[in-house]
Amino acid sequence: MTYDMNLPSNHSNIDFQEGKLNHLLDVDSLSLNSIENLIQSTDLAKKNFVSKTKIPTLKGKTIVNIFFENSTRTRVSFEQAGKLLSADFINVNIPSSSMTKGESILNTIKTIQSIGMDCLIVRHHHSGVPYLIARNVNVPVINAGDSMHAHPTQSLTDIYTIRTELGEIKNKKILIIGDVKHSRVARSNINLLVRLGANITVAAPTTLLPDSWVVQNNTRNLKRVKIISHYLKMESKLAKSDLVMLLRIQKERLDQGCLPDLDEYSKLWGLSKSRFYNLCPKIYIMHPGPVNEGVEIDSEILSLNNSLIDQQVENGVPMRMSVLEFCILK
Amino acid sequence: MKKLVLKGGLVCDPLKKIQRICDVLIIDNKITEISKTTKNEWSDEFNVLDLRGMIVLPGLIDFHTHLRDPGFEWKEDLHSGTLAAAKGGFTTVCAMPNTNPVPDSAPIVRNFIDKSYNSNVNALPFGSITKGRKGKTLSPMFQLQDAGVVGFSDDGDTIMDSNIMRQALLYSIETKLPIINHAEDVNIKNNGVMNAGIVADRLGLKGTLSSSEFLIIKRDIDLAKETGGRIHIPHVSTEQSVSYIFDAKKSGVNITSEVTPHHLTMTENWIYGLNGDIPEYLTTSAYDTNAKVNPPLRSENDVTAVIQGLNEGVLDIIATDHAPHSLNEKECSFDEALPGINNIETAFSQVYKLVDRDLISLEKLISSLTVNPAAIINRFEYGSLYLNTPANLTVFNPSTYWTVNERTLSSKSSNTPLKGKELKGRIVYTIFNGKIIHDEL
Ligand SMILES: [Zn+2]
Repeated sequence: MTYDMNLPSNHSNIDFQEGKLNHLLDVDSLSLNSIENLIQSTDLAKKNFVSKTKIPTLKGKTIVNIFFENSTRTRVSFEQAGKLLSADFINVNIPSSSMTKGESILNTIKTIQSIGMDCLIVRHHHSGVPYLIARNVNVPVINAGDSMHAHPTQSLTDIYTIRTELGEIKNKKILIIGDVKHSRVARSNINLLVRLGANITVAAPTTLLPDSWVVQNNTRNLKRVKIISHYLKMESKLAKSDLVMLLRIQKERLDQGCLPDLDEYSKLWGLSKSRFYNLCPKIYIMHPGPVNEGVEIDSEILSLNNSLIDQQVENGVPMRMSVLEFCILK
Repeated sequence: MKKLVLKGGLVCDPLKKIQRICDVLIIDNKITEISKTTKNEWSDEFNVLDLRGMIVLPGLIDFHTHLRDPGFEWKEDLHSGTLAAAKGGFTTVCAMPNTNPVPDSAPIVRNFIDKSYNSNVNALPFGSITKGRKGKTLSPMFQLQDAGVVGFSDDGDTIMDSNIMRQALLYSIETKLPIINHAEDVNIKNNGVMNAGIVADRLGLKGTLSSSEFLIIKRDIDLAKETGGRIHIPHVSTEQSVSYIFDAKKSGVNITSEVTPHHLTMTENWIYGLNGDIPEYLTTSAYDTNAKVNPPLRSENDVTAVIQGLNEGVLDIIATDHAPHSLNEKECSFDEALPGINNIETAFSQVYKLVDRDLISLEKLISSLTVNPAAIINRFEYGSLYLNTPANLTVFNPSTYWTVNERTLSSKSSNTPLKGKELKGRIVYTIFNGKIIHDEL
C-alpha cells in the first residue's frame, strides 16, 4: 500500500518566512532552495564546530531557549551552536510539572520577552505550541520539537548527515521502521525526504501508523510513501534498502494498546544481529535517539561503522548554527 | 401602547404553511393579523417597520445551548446567554445541564426556572440523566419532569454504561421526554482532540475517529428499539451516524436528531486557521483552538452527509451547541484548550449560507429551527406565528454583510473561528413577547 503525508505539490517559491520574521516551525515551509542553502552553510559551520573557533556572526544577539519538556541533547546542541556564533544564550527550563494550574504559556512568554531577545527556541510536549507562541511574539521562533508534530532542526540535521555520508538523496532507498504515528521526527523527515526525491518505505505494525494511512476512505492518496505492516515484508525490504531509520518506541504505547510488549516489538521489528548480518550488512543506520538498546536495535550493531547515530548528534550543532543565522539575520 | 406593523417582509411559517410577502400586525404584544398581501399605507396609530427584502419568521428555538449558569458565569450566564440568543434570533433556548450544581434534583431545576423569569428570552432547563452527571445512578426523572425540564442529558460526558442508558430509556417511556446522550465513546476517543484523519496526522494531533460517535449512536438506537424509549441524538457529525439514524427511523424507533451550524458548514480544515482552506505549509494561524469542539469538525464527506441528512429529514433540527469559553481557556495549546464553539449569534447567518448556495430550502432551514424543535419540546406556540398569543418573531436581512468581533457579540466569550470574519445575512430584529428586544437597524 502507498500513502501520502498531505504534501504540498508545487513548492518551488516558498521560503520559510511569516511576514517579516523567519520562523522555523516545521520543514514544510522551507523551499528546496533554502534547504540547499542551509546544507551549504552547514558545511562551513562544521569547520568552526570542529576547530571550536567562535565567529562573531551573532554577537550582541540574545537567544532564549525555552523548554517546557526536558531534552538535554537538543538544548545543549542549540546552546553550543549559539555560543559558537557569539550569541548570548539564556536557558529557561519549565518542566510541565512546575507550570501551576492556570498559568498560561503566553504569560510565561510575555515575562521572558520583557528581558529582550532576538530569537526564541521552543520545545513543548503539545503539538502546535510553537505556532501559538509565534503568533504572539515579535521575534523569530524556532521549533525544537513539539510533541508528535515536528522537529525541523533534527530533520534538517538528518538530511545533512545523509547527504554527507551517502551522497545525493534522490532515489536513495530509505526504510523507516517504527512508531511513525507518534513521531515528530518521522513526520518532518518524510516531508523533507519525499520532496528531495528519496524512495521512502515505512514499516510498522498497523497500530503505529497514522490514522489517515489506515482508514480506507483517504482519497488524497498520492502514492509517495510505501507502507509495510508485516515484519516479514519488512525483512525483505531491509535487504534492498540503502538506509534504515529506526524510531524510538515510547513505553506509553504499551498502555495505549498499540503493542503487546517491548519484547514482541523487538522480535518482530527490531534490527537484531541476525537480521543485520544476514539481510543487510551494508545498510546505513540512523536513529533520532535516545536508543532503547535491544529494542529497536541490538547494541552490538551500534558500534559498527554502519551506524550514523554519532554523526546525527555531531551534525546537529553546525546545522543549528546555520538555522540560527538564517532565522535571526536573514 | 402603539400598534406595531411588520411591513412587506417575506413571512415564513412552516407550520402554518405561510411563505408570502405580507404584513404582520402586533397589538398588545400579540400577533392579531397576518395579512394576505402587503398594504402600502398604514395610519399614524401604527408603528411601521419597513421590512421589504427581509425574512420574517417565528422566533428561533435552540434545543442545545450551554448557558453556563450556575457555576461557570465567567464564560456566560443566564443574562448574557439569553441576550446573545436574542441577537441570534432565538426566543427560546434549552439550557444544557453541565452546570455546577448539576440539575439532578427538583429544587435545583426550580431555582433555574425562577431565575429564568428575568431572562431575555425563554430559557428552558434540561435535567441530568444521572446524579452529578457521573454516569452511575439515575437522576429522579419524574420529579425533574414535574419541576419543568424538557429532556435529559449528561451532555459533555457520554453515558458509557449500557445498563444505565437502558434504564434511562425505560423511564422515558413514561416521561415521554427525550434522553440525549452525548455520543462519544471515551475509549475509542482516547484523548483525541480533533477529527482523526489527514489533517490530524499533518498537525500531529491525536485523532477522534468517527467510530467514537457512531458506535454509541448505534448502541443507543438498539437500546431504544428494544425498550421503546424516547431518544434524541445530539450534534450528529459523521456520515455513518446519519445512516444509522436513517435506518432507525425506517424501523420505527422513537428517535429525533440534531446537527449544529458548525458541522453543517465547517470541515476539520478550519483548524488550519485559514477559513477552511488547506495551506501548502502551516502558517502561524494553524492550531486554531476556536475550531476545537466535541464532536470535532469532520471531513468534507461528513459535512455533505449531514447536509443531506437534514434535507431528507433524517436530521430533524439544527441546534447550536453554543459553548462559550473564556479567552484563557482557548489561548493555550490545542491539547489543553476546552472544546466548544460560541455560535448562537452567528448560527442563522452561518446556516443561511446553505440556502444561498441552494443546498437546502429556506422552508427546511426555518422548520429545523422553529416547528421541529417546538415539536420535540411539545410547545408548538413557541415555533409558529400563532394569533393572539405573545408574539415571538425574528427578522433576518439576507443581503447585509457584517463582521464578527468581540464588540458585536453579546456573549461574555468570543470563542468562535468566525472571529474577524465577514458573514452575509444578519438577524436585524428579535421580538419576544411582543417587545422588540433586539434591533440592529
Ligand atoms: Zn454534547
